[in-house]
Amino acid sequence: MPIEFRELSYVYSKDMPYAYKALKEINLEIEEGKINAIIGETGSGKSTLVQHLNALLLPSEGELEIAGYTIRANEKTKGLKYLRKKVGLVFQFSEYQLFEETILKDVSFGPKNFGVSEEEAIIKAKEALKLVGIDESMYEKSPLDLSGGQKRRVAIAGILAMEPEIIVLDEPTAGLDPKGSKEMIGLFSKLNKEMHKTIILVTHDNEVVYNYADNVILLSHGEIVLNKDAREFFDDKELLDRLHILKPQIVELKELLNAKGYKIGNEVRDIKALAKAIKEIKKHE
Amino acid sequence: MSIVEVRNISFAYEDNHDVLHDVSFNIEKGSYTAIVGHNGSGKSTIAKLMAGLLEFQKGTITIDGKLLNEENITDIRSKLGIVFQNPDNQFIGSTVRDDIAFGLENYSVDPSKMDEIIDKFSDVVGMREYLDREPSNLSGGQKQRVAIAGILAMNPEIIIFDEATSMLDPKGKSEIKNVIYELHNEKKLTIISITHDIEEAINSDHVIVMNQGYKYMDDTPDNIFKKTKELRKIGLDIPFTYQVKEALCDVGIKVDYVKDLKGLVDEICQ
Repeated sequence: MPIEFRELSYVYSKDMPYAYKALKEINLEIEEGKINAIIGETGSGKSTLVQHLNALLLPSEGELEIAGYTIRANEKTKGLKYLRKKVGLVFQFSEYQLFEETILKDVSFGPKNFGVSEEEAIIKAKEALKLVGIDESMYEKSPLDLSGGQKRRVAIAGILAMEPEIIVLDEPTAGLDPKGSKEMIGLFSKLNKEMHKTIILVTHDNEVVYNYADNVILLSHGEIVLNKDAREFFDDKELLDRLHILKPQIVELKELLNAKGYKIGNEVRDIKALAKAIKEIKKHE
Repeated sequence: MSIVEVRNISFAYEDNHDVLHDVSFNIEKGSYTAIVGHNGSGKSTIAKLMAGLLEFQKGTITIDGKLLNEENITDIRSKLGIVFQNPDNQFIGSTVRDDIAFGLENYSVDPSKMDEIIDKFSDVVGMREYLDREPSNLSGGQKQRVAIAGILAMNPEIIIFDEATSMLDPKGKSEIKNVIYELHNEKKLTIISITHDIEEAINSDHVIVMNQGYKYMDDTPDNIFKKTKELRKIGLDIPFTYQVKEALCDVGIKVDYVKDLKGLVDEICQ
């Protein structure tokens, strides 16, 4: 079952003089089992949108269907706590949310909160920590002793330990070094490919979107501009130009070469394939 | 002429193994130096040592001919400013104007001249219209610009940017990068940028690569980035254009100029 927003609006400080409509009558279907990237400028409503996915924000108008729940404006939905088990939300700079004395305690807090026994919570926490690549020797250390990238992985483990079906990440690589970013994205790809989790990723990094996402959802001024297959999106030069989308470098390079008369097709998606294509063309010159 | 001379610096945080081992390098006056490396490679520690925010155990640092020690620290701090990573952690004032004024008051600048100085430097970073705003309502890029204005008002010769763009969105990043380029090209300031941004490093004059507390490489950007094997060995990113150059070389096509995409394309099409 897909995730569906129907005519959903969200107004900050509703009924106040400075009320601000951050989402405007959104209609959106997000595919399950895929990696969905949400892109758009700062202030376009991306974070507001994803906070609806586990009912941290409730719609001011319209409705949302997710993981068997229907959340309607001005209506109480029962069992929202369990929606939060099914939909794990990792905030921006999630490393600031760690609070327990030890890493293991921090990660097992979530499952315990959902009524799992102490022992089982610890088993789940250990599995999650293994998944994010935190070594066993670290379990009893304070989360505060970790580097920024490690802290963030612990925060993500805290969400994974609850075994959500849908994982929502708000700019998970911001502030990480390139190696940390790559490991992080590799982890989401694995969660999707091997464990069939639905991934919803808010990001500013179009290289990541190009290389990993199945679908692209573009927001602007609180409205959905498009929801499209990622490959089709990046193959559509006119569309990218019209929307002022920062192009992945390989897309830009192909475009510059094609403007000089090279005919490099859409099937060329990485540097090696590009080098081969250039060689073929040069051969026939 | 070297404006910064770092000689045989070793440093360890308390009860920790060394984070810097015998590091030496020079930075030329008016140059743009990028210091790159993983988190934990020691690059931010170097920045803090140069700014006199941490005390080192071994070696010497000379800034503009003066040895960095207790006696000279106040003098040196007036020559060198540092912009940090997190735009939210460096504000004191309740308005942008107060925030810039804070540094000036600290250095006993004549109050009658303050407004003029504040106007001038908020203009340089394009924040003059925001002087009466609260810093907390600004975007990340705007906050970093205010931080830069506060430093410029102190009239430094060297500015260190410690991952100053890494928490910003693409728009904020390019805003700040443009301000940095301008300070370097027009104001002729010495820029030291601790960065993960490989594309920024390509356009610098001088790159220092740090790895596990050691200086790993110290050369011009081109000489560094063409050593793709050595960079991969320590898991560093290779700039896109250098990756293309390498892949083309593997299929027998040789290109030299790889500073930007347009130049690379021109060479491929020759």
